[in-house]
Amino acid sequence: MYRKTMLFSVLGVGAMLCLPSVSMAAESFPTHAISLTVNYGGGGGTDVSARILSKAAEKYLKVPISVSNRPGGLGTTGVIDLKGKRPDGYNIGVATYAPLAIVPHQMSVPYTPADFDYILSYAQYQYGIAVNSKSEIKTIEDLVAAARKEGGLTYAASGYPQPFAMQRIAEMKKVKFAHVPVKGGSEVNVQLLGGHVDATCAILGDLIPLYKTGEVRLIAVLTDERVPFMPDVPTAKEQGYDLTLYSYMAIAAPKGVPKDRLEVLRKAYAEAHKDSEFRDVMKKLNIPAVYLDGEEFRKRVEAGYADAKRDLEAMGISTKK
Amino acid sequence: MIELLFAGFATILDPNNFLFLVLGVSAGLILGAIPGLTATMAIALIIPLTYYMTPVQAFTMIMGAFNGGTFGGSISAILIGTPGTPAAAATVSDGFKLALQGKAGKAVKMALAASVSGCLFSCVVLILVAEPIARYALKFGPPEYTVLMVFSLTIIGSASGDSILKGMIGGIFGLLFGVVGLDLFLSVPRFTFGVNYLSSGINLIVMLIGALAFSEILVQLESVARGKTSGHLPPPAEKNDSILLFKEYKESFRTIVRSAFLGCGIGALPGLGPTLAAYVGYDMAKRNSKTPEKFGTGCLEGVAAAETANNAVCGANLIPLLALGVPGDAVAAIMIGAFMIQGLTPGPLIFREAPDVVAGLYAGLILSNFLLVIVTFVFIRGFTKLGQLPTTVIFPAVIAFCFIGVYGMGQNSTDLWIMLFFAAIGYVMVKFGYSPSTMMIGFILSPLFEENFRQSLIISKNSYTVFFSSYICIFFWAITAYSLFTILRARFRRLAALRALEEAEENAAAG
Repeated sequence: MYRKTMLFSVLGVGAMLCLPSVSMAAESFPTHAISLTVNYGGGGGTDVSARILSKAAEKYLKVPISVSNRPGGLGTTGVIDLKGKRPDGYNIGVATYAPLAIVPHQMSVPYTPADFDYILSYAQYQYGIAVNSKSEIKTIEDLVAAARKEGGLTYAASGYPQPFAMQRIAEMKKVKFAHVPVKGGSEVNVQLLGGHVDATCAILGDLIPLYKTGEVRLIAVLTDERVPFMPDVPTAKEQGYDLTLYSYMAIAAPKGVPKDRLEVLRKAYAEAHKDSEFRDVMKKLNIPAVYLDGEEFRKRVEAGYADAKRDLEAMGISTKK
Repeated sequence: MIELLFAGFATILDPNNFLFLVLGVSAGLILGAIPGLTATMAIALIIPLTYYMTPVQAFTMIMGAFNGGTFGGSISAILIGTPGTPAAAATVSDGFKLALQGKAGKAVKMALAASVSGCLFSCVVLILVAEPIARYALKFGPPEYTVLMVFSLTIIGSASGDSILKGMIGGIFGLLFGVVGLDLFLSVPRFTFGVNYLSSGINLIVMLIGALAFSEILVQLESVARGKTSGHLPPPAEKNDSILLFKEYKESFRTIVRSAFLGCGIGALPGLGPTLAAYVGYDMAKRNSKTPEKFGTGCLEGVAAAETANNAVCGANLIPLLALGVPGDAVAAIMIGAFMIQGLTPGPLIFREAPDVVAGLYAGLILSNFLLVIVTFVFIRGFTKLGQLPTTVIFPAVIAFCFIGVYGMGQNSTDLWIMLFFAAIGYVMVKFGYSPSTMMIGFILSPLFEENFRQSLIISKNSYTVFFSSYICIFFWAITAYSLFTILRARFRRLAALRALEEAEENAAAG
């Protein structure tokens, strides 16, 4: 009651001083449009999913969320930009897993995962190992045996963390897999279909079209359990390899957003995550819309940050300092 | 298939769908024509909206925008000498010269006729033989692409103008700028001068606007300021200067057919795209011409060569997308998202899942060409009028659009500095007789060459014999050798002709 009276008097004073917006912001949030930056360019999976999710969140926040793209720097430009914004809750942004946990080992960036408050992780990428279906390789065991026999195999992968999985298998079984980096996610399919590489480790969504036509064979999914859209593909765990690989799309804010405002954002986005339109788009994009709350996501990023350092060093890629 | 195609036409002509095609073509044409804004940007903005459209509406709009934008870039290339999109970069050298001769209308119409021819040809190829072509394209692995890039580097030889040495210097600059950014293999940024933003490399469009568009404006401003050229484009001198005669189309027909094939081939190979197609098409036309010296001085055939090739990519880049589910270039990659939003699987499955959508897509792409003709004829008066505005109005507007477009793309002011940096480089190059195009070609080829070269060596365990391991490789080595031979032969002939001329003059003086 006392606080309310205070608020009214503050409001009154504020109105008299013609500074209503400053005092209003202290209690009711949000009062005006929220700006959300996406750390990748327009039209891609990250962009489309963030836009649709934010559209759903507008219903709960009752203010518009204006979305803009800040691509570049391997996804770090948008994250750096976000760190520099005012932590008032009106500035939020998509921060994906790789620029938070992996890229900081490859280049100097002016942030660490601790510089952000996390609102939620709204989707995760899942990975699998695949070969051309003309190949004799049917399991990870076959892959390892072939690598041993041939003195090494090649695999195509676009970006990180995909190579970490191959690296861990290679370490476990003392075989060699040569990494053939390619640019786009679907370029792995060109290499695999053309028979230019022996295998690939890729995002499951990118493999689905050719999995459906039967032109590539998934030999393992790197998830904790089998995935519903590829029910016949065993996990690496089932094959005796303790190996999972995930990355995430999350929405964050610069550290220091007032607790109550962070809660408002978290609640709104958690509700938006249940939105049927959002779910529908994610299903079509083949990106599993797995919800993690902000704190859980922070834990995963921090664990991933430590793992990435180890994996990169094991691959012989010098990590900075 | 034919029946389905007719049904597709019927679907597109439904006003509910046709409206989207008109919107797509118009938006693409206008955004493409404005330097700094591109059709790819328009398409990226359309994608989130497609969720609320039917599949046919979504794809006709996207394809319309792509086709319209690829042509639209040539309008500004011709009228103001600054390419509206990267794909129109090769059109500038002849198109703008034609405009300076008062033949802007003719050049735009030739560009239109060529674009439509190229796109229609690639549509036919797409509809009839997509599957076998896509299968064949898969045989192109890293070694084949590497040798193809070696061959493509020889384009610099004929794009270099008077001096091969200057062309090579320009090309090397381009190659060097192409290595800025992420080292794909060590996954570490290099040559970024400590700027994190550059770890994704220099954006092609930013560089193009700086080196080709902005620098051109500077050069023109200077010549207008010194009173060397008038502040207007000259009006048509003759009645026929604003129209394209059928005779002229027929004269360029061989070139158009050649460029259509080249554009289709390059479009069907994943990763290459329309800009390279335009440069290759232009280069091949010049080399096979009986009068190569006319290229670059205002030659209609040059406009036809570049414009046919880049629009042939519009249909052809759907070949790998529909037949295999792999994108041919940046636009096709964005289209994958559009397919998925519609709940369709990009790739051969779509022929089973939704044959009507495929038919609609084909019909939309074909109709977009006819619409392009209509829309252009509606706007052409306006466009040429715009071109005849005093340069004191045009140049500030173009400069403003350069800034707006470059900033709008990444919303990052670093890009503006990069643009100005390349504007300065482009200006100096032009002043000293270097062709900025050679730098652009080097820049486009650099990452493709490096990536494929290093991938090949990983696959072959560092054995260089991999570059001679297939017939495709050997074929490209052979045409590379032939290409070098023709460049050198042309130089020798020219030198011999010059010497003969000098001797004749000396004799005349002595006599």
